Amino acid sequence: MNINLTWEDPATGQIEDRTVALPITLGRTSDNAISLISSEVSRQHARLEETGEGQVRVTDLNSTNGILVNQEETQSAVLRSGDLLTVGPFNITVIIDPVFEQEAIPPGAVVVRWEHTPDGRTEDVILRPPFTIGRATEVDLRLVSDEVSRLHARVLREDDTLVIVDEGSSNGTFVNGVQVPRAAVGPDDEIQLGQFRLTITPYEAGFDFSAPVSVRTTSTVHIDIAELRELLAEEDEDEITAPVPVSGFPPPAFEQEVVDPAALAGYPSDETVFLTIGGGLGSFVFVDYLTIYGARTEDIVSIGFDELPYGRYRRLCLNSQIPLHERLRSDSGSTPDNIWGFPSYAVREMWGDVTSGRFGHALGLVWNMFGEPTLVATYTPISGKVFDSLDREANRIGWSDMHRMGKVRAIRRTTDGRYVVAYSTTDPANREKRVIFAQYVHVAVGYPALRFLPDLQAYREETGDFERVVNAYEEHDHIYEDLAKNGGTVLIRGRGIVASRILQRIYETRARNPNINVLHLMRSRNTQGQRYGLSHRPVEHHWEFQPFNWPKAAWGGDLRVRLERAGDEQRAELLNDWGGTTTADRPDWRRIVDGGVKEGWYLIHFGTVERVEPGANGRLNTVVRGRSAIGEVLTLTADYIIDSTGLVSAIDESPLLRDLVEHHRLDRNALGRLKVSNDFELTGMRSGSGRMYASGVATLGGPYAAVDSFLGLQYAAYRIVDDLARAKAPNVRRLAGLRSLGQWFKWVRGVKP
Amino acid sequence: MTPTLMGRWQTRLLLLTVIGVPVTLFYSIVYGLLLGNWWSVWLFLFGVLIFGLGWDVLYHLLQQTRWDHDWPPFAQWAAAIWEAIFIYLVHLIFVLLGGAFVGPIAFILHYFTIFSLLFAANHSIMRILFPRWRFRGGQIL
Repeated sequence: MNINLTWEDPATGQIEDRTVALPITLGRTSDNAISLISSEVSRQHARLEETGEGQVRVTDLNSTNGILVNQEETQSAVLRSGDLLTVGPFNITVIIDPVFEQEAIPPGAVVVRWEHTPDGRTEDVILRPPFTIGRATEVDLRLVSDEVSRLHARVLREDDTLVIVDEGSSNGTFVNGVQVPRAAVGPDDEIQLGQFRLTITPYEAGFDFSAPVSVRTTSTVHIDIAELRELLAEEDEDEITAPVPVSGFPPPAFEQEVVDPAALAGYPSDETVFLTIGGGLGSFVFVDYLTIYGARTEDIVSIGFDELPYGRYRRLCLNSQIPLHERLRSDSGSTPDNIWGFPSYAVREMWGDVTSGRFGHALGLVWNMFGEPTLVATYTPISGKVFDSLDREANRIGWSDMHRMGKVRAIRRTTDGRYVVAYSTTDPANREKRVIFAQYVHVAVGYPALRFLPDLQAYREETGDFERVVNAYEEHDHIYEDLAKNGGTVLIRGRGIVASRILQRIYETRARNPNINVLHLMRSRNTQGQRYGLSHRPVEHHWEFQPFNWPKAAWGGDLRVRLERAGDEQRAELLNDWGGTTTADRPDWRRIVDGGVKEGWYLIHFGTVERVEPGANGRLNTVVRGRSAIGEVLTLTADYIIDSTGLVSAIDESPLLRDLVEHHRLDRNALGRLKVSNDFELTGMRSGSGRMYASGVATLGGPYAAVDSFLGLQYAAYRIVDDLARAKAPNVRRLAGLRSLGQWFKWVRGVKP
Repeated sequence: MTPTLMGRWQTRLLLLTVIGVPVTLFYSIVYGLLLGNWWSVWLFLFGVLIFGLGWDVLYHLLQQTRWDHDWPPFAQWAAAIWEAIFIYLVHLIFVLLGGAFVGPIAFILHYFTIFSLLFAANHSIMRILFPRWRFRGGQIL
């Protein structure tokens, strides 16, 4: 028998999707059919096998930490399709062969279709009478509204008739407009409970539910819309203006293993000592360190797509609903404009308060800094202030003199022990294809693409509808404008920090139009929270909390040391232990979720999506394999779907990095990313006295966990620049003590390093 | 902060030397002239250093029970108050054995002058003079 297992990889957030033939074992070591790398998983953890009756049984193989089925501990259990199997940090949804699944539908099942009349939300739920209906979590069919009693009604079978019985509800049960204590109901009868309209029809064999399991892998689309447009414009131009077909770009000489500079004589070129590729925050932080350590600005070149170092970051923030006055999920001491972390953003904000007489707020910040993260929510800086501080630092170090706007196509070693980079400038007035030679190269190109869930990607490709199904990182303000005007239902996928932002924005929009509802579709229940050693993470309403996306000590504490010392395989294990999707423990967000659940406008559903399809009136139907008590298939209808599952970090999605790895046959780390040394060097790219480094998310799985954070970029930069100082790169001198103090005073005074 | 055990020891040793010694010298002279007690403050300083190396092991273990493995400001203050009580109790035992008595106010003044300066240094000048210190869990060497 084949079964299908899906889970989210805690370290990378990628969805793993496997179809396997039983019997199998799950465990930490690679001799298991499903190997789950985590210290919380035993070598041989559990077995899945077919029983004599054609059922699937999971058995704990005497593991240290045990297994959970649907969040309850068990030694051994029969699994039903859609059940959630938890092994250490892995939440695995089990889908059993649909033929078997069909047999598992209880005989005499019915399909209950309910509609919430004010907003038209509908759902199909398969249930087997007798079942209960009400507002409470304990009932079989939950209808959340103040007008529905906790236990409102019961449906049972008497001979061949279905009968609905009012259970003493406050607002009564109506059949075809007449209040009844008890009545027989057929498929044509309309039942009304509060503002919910229900019909009950016998379950039929032809129901879509038996559709075969489709196995798809995560696919992606390219970057955000602004970048995509620019890219297309450039490619169009290539076609129109390319004069001689043989002189392609990158230059043909780039096909050589090592490039002879003489072969590039025809291209406009220049040279530099330090070259950083990406031009975003990773490049900026690196250049900041470099200049403070003593490198001359005329020896540094940065190439990147945006004019401002935080251009792309700000765009992603704004799209994912972090306006300039909102706070980022970043630590007070993570200051990309200041390599020392002093004064922290909290101290600066407090100083601003004191000088403008807002003493109350300043005192609040003191309490914040003192009590976080246990007594009070963690302080985080205001995004606009962070960008302002970056402007100031960019000005100070002369960023605009070093940075060029362009798109890098390929990186090669040269025969004279350096590197050569082919790039096209993106200045519309002066489009050029150029090469640049450099002795030291740093690559920090950021996330290659937005992540789309496979079913949403399929929907977008089939329908061309980019308005109703969006990624949270795309520009999507039209959704909130429409909701404010017309109301509607939004389906959110994903439960990380971005989902919190989106929910907050919808909550704010509800103040203008209360007729907005949210369906939150989660892959699985979560009531336990991840464990690591002696500690564990809190959970509320299936949202899991931690202040940042890794435990704090992964930045500069004992966990950083542990990861750096670990071998390749063990690093993957530690990252799985510490990772997973979490959001910040912000009191306002917790109030929004809790209020939404109680008021009924925010409903959480669980399950894996089978498909998304156009529904009636231009709405969207999401067909879910659920795992509620008996109901197995559920159709969620919404006006909009917002995919909040984040960004893709796999380097193969970046043409530049993929070419780099393939052409130079570079090693990858255990997560398939660029393999770097503890100093972030791509050791496979050594070229004479030249060296090449990488930082940012392309190095995930290496010596450091929080590679994509402000402080993580600073950590990488300090390791790289210290390494350059040891390699005696021109003018780069290790910074410490009084020289560091002197540089800090220059920062305070705002003068050039 | 997210100190490592080695980082705790090194930072404690450095700061109690660089800040603790001059402050104690000051109080030693003041208390010597006013109360005729020149030496007790030095014993306090030495005690905080020696016992502290042991307490640091305990703090490090406590840190492991926190998801973030961190040691936030409120924990730093709680630890400081605990160490103050402990060292004062040790001093009372010495008094029973015939040692010199130091009044609680005199003790608190000396102790919390040092701790406040230590706390401030941890959050400012240490980061500037040792730019790698915060990435290395408080380790200097």
